Amino acid sequence: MSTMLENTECIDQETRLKDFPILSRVIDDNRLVYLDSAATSLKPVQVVSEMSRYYLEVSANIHRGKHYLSEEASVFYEEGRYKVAQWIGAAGNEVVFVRNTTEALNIVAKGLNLGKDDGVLVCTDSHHSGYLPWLEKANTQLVRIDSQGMVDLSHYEELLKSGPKVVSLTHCSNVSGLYAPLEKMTQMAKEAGAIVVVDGAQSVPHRRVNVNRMNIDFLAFSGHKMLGPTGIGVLYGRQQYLEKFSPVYLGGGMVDWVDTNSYRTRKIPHKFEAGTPHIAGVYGLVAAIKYLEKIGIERVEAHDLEIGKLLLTEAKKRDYLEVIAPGGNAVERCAIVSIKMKQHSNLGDIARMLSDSYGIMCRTGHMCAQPLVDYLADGEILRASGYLYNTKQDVIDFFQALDEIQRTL
Amino acid sequence: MVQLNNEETFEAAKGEIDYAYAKTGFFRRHLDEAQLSPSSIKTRADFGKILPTEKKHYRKNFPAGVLAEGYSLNNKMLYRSQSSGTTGERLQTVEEGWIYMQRAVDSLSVYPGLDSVLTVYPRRHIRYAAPNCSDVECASPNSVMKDRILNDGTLVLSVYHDMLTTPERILSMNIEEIEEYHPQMYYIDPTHLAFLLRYTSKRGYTPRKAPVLTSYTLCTKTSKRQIINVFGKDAPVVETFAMSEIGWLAAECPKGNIHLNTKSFYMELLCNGRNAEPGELAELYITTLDNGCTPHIRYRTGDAFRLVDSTCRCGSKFPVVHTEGRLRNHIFRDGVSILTPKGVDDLIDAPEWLDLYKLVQTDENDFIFSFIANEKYQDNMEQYIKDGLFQLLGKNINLRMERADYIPTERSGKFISCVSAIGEKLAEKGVQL
Repeated sequence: MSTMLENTECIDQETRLKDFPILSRVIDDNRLVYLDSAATSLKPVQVVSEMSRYYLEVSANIHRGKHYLSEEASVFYEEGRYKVAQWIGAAGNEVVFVRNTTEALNIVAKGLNLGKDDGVLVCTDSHHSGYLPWLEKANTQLVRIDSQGMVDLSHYEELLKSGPKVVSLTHCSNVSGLYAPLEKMTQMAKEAGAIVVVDGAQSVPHRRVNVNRMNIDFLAFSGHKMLGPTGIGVLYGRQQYLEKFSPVYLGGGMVDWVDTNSYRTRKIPHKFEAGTPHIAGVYGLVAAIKYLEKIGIERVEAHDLEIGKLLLTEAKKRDYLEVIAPGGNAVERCAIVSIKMKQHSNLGDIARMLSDSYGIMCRTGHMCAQPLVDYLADGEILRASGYLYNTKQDVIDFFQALDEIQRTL
Repeated sequence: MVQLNNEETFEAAKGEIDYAYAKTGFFRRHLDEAQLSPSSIKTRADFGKILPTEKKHYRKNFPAGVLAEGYSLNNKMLYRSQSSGTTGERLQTVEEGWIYMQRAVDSLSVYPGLDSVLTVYPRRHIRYAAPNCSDVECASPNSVMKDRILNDGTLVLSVYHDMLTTPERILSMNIEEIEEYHPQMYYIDPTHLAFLLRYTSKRGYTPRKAPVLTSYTLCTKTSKRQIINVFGKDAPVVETFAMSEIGWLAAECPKGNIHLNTKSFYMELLCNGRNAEPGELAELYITTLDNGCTPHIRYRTGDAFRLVDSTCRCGSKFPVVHTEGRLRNHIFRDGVSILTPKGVDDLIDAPEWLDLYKLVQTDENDFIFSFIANEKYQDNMEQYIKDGLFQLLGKNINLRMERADYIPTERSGKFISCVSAIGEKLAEKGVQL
């Protein structure tokens, strides 16, 4: 692997290694190349430090006491909510802290109180989390995608005529890495009178998503895909809807008043946060957002698109690879490429070789999007996904490793 | 040298030192540790030898060390102020209710005719400001008007802690309650009232007119413009300055100048440990004079002013000052306050297109200016603010300008128009001007 390229740097090399010490790890003499960020991102020191600070210096529960430490934790937790709200253009009380994107989408599907006669449009490129909660509750229809992996907008338009109550959109596919034309699709859904729910798990980490300007009613995303910790996610919900939702969980922390026969819930968003929440997770999430802010989300986005373009270009150069959902020319692609090897179907083997022989971490399987992967690839796929700490060299190393493996097959 | 206090006030301050030394354990220790005694304080120079006191002293020593002997916390005539939080702002204080009232009346004496509104009976005042409670544990959206009428006749209007998230039904309820209550006076946070008035204006409703006394936060020109647009022709809009643990310290006169209340307090404006010259940025220190429940001696207010070296045409003998904002909210670079919240406000002024703004210093060189604009806004109207901030803060800063639909309040429920992470840290370390 001798080809050296200049980094398209989001962060300089020194900062990269200082902030992400895991990237200095050497496995069997191979430097670590992490290309599985669509599954979960690496965590910078700043995030881990903030979580440690909570556990080692604060540690108290929130909203449950008058003592200094409890106030400190409560203030930080709620300021974290404001931070998230400003990050996505929402108001503070429209941000609910949840475990992850999956939980957020389930809360919405349950809260909307749908019946089997209510129509829900779901895009075929949905993650299972953006599909199964609707399949369970309502009359779900899948919007087709074309062979390039793009949403078939004419089919979408056609289905909208049936008057669905909800449209559930995947902003960026975790399989193809293609961004859906969200603003256009949202506008079409609004014109059809539908509530718009957006799975932003793969987009919010990479670009600014402003719920107000994009007219989104619900947005779900996870902290762990945007440098934050696991176990903390965000549900944004428009105030008018959240106020009507019944809480999924009942218990401490979400009621104003309880007597032997009844209870009165707190106002939004606290009525959705029963029990002790993931306080350290919020500390970490805030640190992650600050980290992204410090770099500048526009810079993160530009890097994301550039790495995505390089992944696609390099994959297309190789005859032995088949790109899953290459997208059209004008399509925006994040730093994800999913591929098949034409001569070799056991991609699990390949992923193990990439890991053990080259130190390159990437993922194989159905990516929790089985209907899509079965449709496009008829079996498992291999996915490489990058983030702000990846360099062009990482991408080149990945493909050169594949080349070497290919020669042995 | 402008003399803030007359001899009579200085004598009263010495009396307060005698009283605090005799009656409170904290102040007795405070003087003893400095090897001072009340009898050693004879001149103003002697007075300056007393180490200033701060919130942390009153926090740490409450109640046993600061409550004057003879008082009980169960005394029903005592008024208790309580501020939560985790910074140096967290504090409980008790004082006799009549003392707070006298300080208010003395302060407002600079506005003839208006001081009587404070003492009128029966009282129908309206308060509209950050709720005195935790966002989560109360600020309940389910309260009704009678739940929020205090014993003294003040109706507290409901508002969410995070002001801009207050739902429309509560704003509608505010309007109905104002209509029903016929207020004699509004005692409000100007940012909050401006927010309510934006809502009422959109609905073509004009609230009942009554004098408006602003307090709680710096009255920005933007908020004042919005309030005066509604109230100005028929009712005065008067800036007042108060601290929850002390009460009223200053008020605006009919000529638009802010006067310090040097009748209720012995006041010092200090910079670099000395009395400030007119025009110098200085922190206000106060000494109470009442021999009350919680005497404060050379107490750091944490608020900055500039003394004005001229008498006011209103005729008041109280000294005139320019308010500059809380020290912890100043913009600091290299450990020095280089721009005050008032300085920011002067730059921004009160353009018709602007509803609300906030400048945040997130790090030594990093700034975010967020603003909420109305329908009169056109592209780049904020350019002069950007240019002005670069000029005032230096060309080497990182400044992000953001047009927003929402800007959160502080966790206290107050909306502070200029906030500095550096200022907060320095304030925690006791930075002085």
